[in-house]
Amino acid sequence: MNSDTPMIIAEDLGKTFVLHNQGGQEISVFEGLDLTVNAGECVVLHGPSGAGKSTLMRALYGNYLVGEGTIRVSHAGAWVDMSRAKPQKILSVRKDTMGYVSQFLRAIPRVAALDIVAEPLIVRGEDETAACERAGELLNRLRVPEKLWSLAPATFSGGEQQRVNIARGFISDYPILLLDEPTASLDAQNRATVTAMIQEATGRGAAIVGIFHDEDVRNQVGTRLFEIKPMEKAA
Amino acid sequence: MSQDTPLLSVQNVGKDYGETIGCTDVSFDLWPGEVLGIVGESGSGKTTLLNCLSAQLEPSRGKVIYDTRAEGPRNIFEMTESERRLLMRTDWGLVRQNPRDGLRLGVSAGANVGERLMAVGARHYGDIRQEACDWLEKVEIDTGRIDHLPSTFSGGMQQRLQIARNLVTNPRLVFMDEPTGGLDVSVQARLLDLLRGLVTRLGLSAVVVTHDLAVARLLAHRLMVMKGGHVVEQGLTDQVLDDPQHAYTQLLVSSILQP
Repeated sequence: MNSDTPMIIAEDLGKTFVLHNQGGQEISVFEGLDLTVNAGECVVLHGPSGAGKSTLMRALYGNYLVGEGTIRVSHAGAWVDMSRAKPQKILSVRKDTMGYVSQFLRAIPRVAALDIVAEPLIVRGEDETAACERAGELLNRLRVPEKLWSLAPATFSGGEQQRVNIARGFISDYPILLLDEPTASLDAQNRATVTAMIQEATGRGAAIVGIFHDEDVRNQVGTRLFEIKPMEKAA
Repeated sequence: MSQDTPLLSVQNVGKDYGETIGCTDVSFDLWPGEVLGIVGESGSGKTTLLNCLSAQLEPSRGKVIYDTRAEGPRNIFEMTESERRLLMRTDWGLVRQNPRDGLRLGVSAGANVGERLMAVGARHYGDIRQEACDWLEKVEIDTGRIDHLPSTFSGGMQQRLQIARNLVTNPRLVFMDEPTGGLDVSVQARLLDLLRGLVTRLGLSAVVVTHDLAVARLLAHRLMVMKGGHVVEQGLTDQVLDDPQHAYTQLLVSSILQP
């Protein structure tokens, strides 16, 4: 894949939160936002806290609705508009095309770390044993001790949970990856591993959108900065 | 989730109780393999709707069309009573909030599971018992208790037995009314994990009524939020919970206590 193949084309996006139970207060996060992400590039969303970086990322994932604009995503050889697609379509995009590493792992009671990591492959119909093997390799690479694999991550440290989350996000070679501060709670060694994993992903042609507060990581993985400026607060 | 015909198509369904609206103007399609959550507070019409969809209650208006195995899409309220009953015993499951409403308390655990198999024509005692045993294992009930009465089981075990009883005939569609209501949290976690696994592995479609948004997030692909008998918002589960649009949904989501 060459780097001129667009994977995400977001045009004229506008997002406003309306807080109905707080006097109908309206909070505009962005408007008229355009963003194109090509295969093989890692676009770093850049801007101060509260500028709307995570909101944009969640909108790309179909987790937040946008009020205006379109978000076209290249999925199975066709364009899907994430801002209007039906739930089933969005789930199918998430299954095969777009991965998302959130800031915090949402642990499920009783589900072991290894199974959490392997799940995206199993959902895609891959063999359970092979999926668990691959999950183990990733957890090893991210230095999650093997004795933790069979435990539910609710009691893990923040860094351990984050690495489980990263392993889950990287297990399926998604054509598009959204990374919301994946290195925030990691030590230097693990940060270097994650940096390498991101570079490998862009190397194989993945289109990545990321938020990285760590300047070193940003410089190493980012191919381009995308500035998000906070909007004037509505009166 | 990619076939052309929805498994269940609900069109403008409404149910009145005299002057009072139970639920009204409800329309949606449920696709094969999809789990729909219906959330809302007590009295919002969730259970009335579920009862209409599962043919427990005849709606005052609207259609409920089910894609039957033999004859394709049919309005369930235009079927004969016996056709409808066969559907409920074979292709559908109904998990009630109170397991005692969904189980036969006077017969053994094994018989509770085996009974539904017999209803679809199984006759060989050994096979039925073996199948019942397999299902007790799947729902994590000690097979040594196969001959015990469900009344000697804990609430969590009864609920798991009810699930086994419903799933033994390989239904395509399961209705669940507050499946984890009334269970303490550790038992609830186990049941949720089990349900989640079964739904994924068997590719079931399900309609799950719950007032617990965490349960909804874990089980449902898609959510419908009800208030006063109306659907006020629907969409992808995480979108509805993380970016609720309607005032009532915003209130629901912001009312959750964090432990």
